[in-house]
Amino acid sequence: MENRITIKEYIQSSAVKTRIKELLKDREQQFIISLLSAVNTNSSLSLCSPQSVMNAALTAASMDLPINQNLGFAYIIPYKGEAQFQMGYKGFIQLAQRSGQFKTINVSDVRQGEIVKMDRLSGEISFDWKEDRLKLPVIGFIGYMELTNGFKKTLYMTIEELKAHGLRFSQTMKKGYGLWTSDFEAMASKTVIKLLLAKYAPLTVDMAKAQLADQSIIKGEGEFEYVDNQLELPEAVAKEKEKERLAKHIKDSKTVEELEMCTDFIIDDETKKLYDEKLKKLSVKK
Amino acid sequence: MKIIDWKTYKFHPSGLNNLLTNSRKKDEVLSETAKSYLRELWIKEVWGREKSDMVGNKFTQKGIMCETDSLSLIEKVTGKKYFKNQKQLDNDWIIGTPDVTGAELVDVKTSWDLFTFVAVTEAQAKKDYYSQVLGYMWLLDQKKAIVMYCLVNTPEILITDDLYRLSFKLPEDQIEKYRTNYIFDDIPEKDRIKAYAFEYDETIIEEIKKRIEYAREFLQNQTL
Repeated sequence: MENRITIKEYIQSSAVKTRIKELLKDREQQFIISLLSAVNTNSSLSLCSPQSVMNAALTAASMDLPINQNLGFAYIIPYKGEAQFQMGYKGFIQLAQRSGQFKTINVSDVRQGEIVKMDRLSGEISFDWKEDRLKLPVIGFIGYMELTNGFKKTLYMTIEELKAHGLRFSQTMKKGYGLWTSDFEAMASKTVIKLLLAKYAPLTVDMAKAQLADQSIIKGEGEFEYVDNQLELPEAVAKEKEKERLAKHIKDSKTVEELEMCTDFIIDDETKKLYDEKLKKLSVKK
Repeated sequence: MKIIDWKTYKFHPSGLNNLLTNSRKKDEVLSETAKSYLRELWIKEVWGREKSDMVGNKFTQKGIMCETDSLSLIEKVTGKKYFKNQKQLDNDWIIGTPDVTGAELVDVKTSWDLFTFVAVTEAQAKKDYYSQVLGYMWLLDQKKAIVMYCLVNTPEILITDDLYRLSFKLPEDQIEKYRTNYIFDDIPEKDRIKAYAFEYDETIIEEIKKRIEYAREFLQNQTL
């Protein structure tokens, strides 16, 4: 098992410090605090390669988007030992507003019976927004934008279309976990806004960066790897699932004896690290 | 082309069933089933070609993708902990990776749907998998093994593929009702497991050794 350096150690190296300073100038300290806070609130991130965590955080910082998960502008998601950068729909809206070219931009769910008429050619839809709409089932999501020059566009996707989109682009959704499964509304909102902007919005530098970086592991400047969007062999799926099951066993173990039941079945560094940390905790209690 | 030393070739326990099939010809040890299996094995090992229906077969894919889900189901029902063994074991004859090792040797089979699950009987389990688990018992020097059939939900990717194929045969509004064929949350967990225990048999091991010798010779002489 290799001895990996922590993110804290990584950002303390002089080369990394210089890079952060060059890119963010006087926002350096604020960046380090938010990065460490993100890692502290999500322990799985501490198991990701420090470089991928920092690149994801730097990408968010370069667009001046906070990475606080609760705010929903941008996320750093652990995925197979690497940190993946993900835009939130609020992040896309924020970038659009900042460009100064938008009069309105919004996203909403659409409930049963609210669509009155739809013109497939122009994309225009007439709605009858219901008053007690929250009681009605959601049938889709709609994104709307209006530019200061008067250009307007809506993009509507049904729940089925959104699910098909998630299944096409997210391997984790296919396997039944990840953000598409745990927070479908956020991912659906993001999808309609992202596609609406990608198709019809004026492209600013930040918007282009956000579109490219979204759901990727950032390997370097302009170098994106879309890991959750690659087909996986059933064997790889099986391995990943078993790894999660082992991690759950480790997390739930209340005694050293219980924990040690899985000792012989650990085959990767990430799980070994979780195991060692838990063993240390349980041994102290003993 | 790959050069293989067939004299020491080790077989996977899942292939032993083919080797143990009896020949209809009295003067031949290897049956036509065995020969057909050996020819496919030879093509795979020497020329790197595998029949595509074996690689992409949805039953096999579910079996691999859902092994962990099946183990979780077994854990919930039996209250015992089971982990997937990752270590490959071998002896002079066979090589393989048993699903679950430890106090109990368990081989997990994930059924495709309720129809295949219901059709499973002890006799069928023995016919299909006894030689495979006997191979694992041999590798682990254990006297007992359990074959556990599990019925767990099908991964969305396999459901989508199947429904997509169905969309060529049925109108769209009739397809969704078939989705229930892949999901089994409504069936009590305890009823979604069938377990059959089998014992070690030295006489069959001796027969396997003999058949492997013949199989090695067959492979040695195979040509294009």
